[in-house]
Amino acid sequence: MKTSSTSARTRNSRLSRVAAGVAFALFAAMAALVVPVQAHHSFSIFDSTKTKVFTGVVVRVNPDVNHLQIFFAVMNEERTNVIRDAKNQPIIWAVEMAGSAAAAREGISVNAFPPKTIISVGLHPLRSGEPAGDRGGSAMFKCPADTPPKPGKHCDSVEGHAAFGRGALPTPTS
Amino acid sequence: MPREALVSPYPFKTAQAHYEALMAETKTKGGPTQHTYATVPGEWTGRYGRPSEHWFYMGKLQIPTVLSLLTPEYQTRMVQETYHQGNSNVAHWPSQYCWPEGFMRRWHQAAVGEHQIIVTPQLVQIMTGVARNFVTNIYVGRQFNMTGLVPRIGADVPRWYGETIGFWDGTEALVTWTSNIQGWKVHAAFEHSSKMQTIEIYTPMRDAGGRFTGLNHEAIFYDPEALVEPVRIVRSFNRTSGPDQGDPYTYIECVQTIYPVNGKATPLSPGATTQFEVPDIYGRPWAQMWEKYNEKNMEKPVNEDLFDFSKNKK
Repeated sequence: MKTSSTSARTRNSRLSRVAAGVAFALFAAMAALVVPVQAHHSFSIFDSTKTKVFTGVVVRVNPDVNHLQIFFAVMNEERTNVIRDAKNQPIIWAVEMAGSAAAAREGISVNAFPPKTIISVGLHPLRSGEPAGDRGGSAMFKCPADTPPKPGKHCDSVEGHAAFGRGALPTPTS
Repeated sequence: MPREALVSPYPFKTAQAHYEALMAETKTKGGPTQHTYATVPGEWTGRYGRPSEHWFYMGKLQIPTVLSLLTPEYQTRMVQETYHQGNSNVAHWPSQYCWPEGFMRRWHQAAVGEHQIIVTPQLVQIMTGVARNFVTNIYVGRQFNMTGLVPRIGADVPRWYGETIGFWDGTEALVTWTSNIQGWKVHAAFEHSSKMQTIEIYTPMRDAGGRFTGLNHEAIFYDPEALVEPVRIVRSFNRTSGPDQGDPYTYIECVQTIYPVNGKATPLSPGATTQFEVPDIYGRPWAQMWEKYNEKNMEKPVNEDLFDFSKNKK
């Protein structure tokens, strides 16, 4: 599993910083009038040449109409808990995907991913370095309730997992 | 105002049971009525003034009375709301920041004014608003998808103002069921959860000569997460004209002039600069600001450890 080193912040401030980063990037993209068809912001804010793969614990699903976001705390290699920063706060990442209605048609919703759900997901990270990214077209996996993967593994290896989207987890870039 | 005036007088524990009972009653009378454009009560279409006053205006009752309606978690939230409204003088009203108004604000005096109602056989639309638009689309004759956590019509996405189905009981009642509502708050009142559902009954009011004068609107609120028992609001809409008179109904765009600066609502003029903290909309943003700026010396209860799976390893 690949993770990113991040500075020490609280969970809430991290959520806010993620949102601030995304909001700023969205504004910049809109200002540049680089708006693809059927999207409300440019995806140039994400580095599509990089792919990170995480297994984490869901802390929140934001069902925004433009892009649903899942906020998750990154799990440790042992899959017994989450990794924490210098202030002992969980490292929170956000992954955005299609709008909430489109995501729901894929089975991804607030109700289907309550807090404490364990997921494995690949993402293209923000170029800004903020802990968030775009899921792209890869599949996402949900572990059965209260059943984390074995050390170093992802939810796709757990019997009874659920898959969302086609294919496998992406291969992380170095 | 006594507690008895706030709670539902009906025996139902859920909106579903209430709706099904009303449907069964209607069926005994040969309903539900399948209206056409020739038979639908078109006189309902028109403009209505500000609804009549009721208890949810919150000005004529005691806070402990309202607290007695709430579950412990939502009691705590309402005490937090009331404390900061009355003690800290730090009010975070969603509409002042152009945040969503939320489902229950449709019943609040300051959030709605004139109503416009359009009646068709299969769709009834109610529009109102002051800072935000409240558009209630009642899909007559449709059924909810019952496979999810809450009943819904469309995608499994909680909606700020829910989704609504209904049926006609002759021309004398329109019965509706709203579900799939995003949890939120009404300032100076209480928060509701995403499990909130309502049964609403619209019945015509007539004068001594039988002339249509408006609608009685009875709403029963079911929320097993926030309310210890269902509550009810009854109000009336007085019809002021048809759509052929008066100013047109205008769609509202909320333009923000007040911003939370250092945790306090602050009007800012064009050209002013401030450090903007993005609100965590789905995380009770009002409470986050209070906790950050106004509750520094208060202790919060310890929550469950969301992240410990060490006991789950097989």
